[in-house]
Amino acid sequence: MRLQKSAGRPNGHGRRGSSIIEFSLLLPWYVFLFVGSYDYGFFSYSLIATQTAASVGANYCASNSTTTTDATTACGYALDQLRNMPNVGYSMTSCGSGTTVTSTVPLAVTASSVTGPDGSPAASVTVTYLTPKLIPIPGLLPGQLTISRTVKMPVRG
Amino acid sequence: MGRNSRRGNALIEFTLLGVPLLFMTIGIVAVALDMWEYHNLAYSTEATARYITVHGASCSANSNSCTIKVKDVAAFFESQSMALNRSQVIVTLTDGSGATTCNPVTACDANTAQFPNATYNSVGSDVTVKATYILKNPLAMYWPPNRDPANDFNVAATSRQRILF
Repeated sequence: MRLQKSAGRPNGHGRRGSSIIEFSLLLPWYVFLFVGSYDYGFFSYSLIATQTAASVGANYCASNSTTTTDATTACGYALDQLRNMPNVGYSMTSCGSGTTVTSTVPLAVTASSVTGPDGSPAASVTVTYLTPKLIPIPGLLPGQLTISRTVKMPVRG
Repeated sequence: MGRNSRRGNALIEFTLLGVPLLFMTIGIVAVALDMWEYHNLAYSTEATARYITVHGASCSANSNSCTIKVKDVAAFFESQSMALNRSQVIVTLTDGSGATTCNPVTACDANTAQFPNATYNSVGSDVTVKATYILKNPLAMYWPPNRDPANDFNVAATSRQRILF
């Protein structure tokens, strides 16, 4: 039996260029995968560094009762965890006040004296960090994150 | 249009689109691996600094025997950095006496010098760990000044902490 060509079946001209259309449809997903991997790496690095910054800052502030509110020294320790981030570098020596971070001062450290869950004096350190501007994926992933971590530690001395 | 011409079209289309598609696929995998290594570098550096801070002067007080040597620090770093190629990691350990550089980290596997140095290991002293990692992967060929895939680009992580014990 002889097969008849259906009316809607693409001929040579119709098929030509279909790869380009398929490629165009796939391209955004490839770009998103690429951008997502890249952004995720920087964000996860920032999360680790910020968590460490808060932990090291709290270690210092919990040294004794006079250091519990020393946010300036805690800032120095926090900066030394984030030196390799492109928006911090080795020239930055001070942090923002409170929890306010900007693109020029992307790190803020607060230190306060609190009462721990066991009723003993404790130091509480909050580190807020604004990541560098990366490539956003609209509706899925912001190009920039503000990460905040708080660590409380009983005063040792 | 004849069947032979159509076959030729497919070949041309594949040549035009297959190459960028292949590059992008390799690029995605390469970036994902890079970022895993970057993440692991940060973690290893932080964990190693923490390890040092709990092996300070109190480790030699009251007949305690938990002081550590540079080789112990190197071994700890290596145990934490499962994603990294050890021959490409440079670790610099700094205490009050100065810096000790392990280039690569395995070069310090037999270094028996005490770290932190006995004179600078009191509780409250600072130690710094800096690790630099040389990324070698196909992504380098996209980097304009480094078109040769053999060229590298470096990533680094630093952690300065106070000795706690």
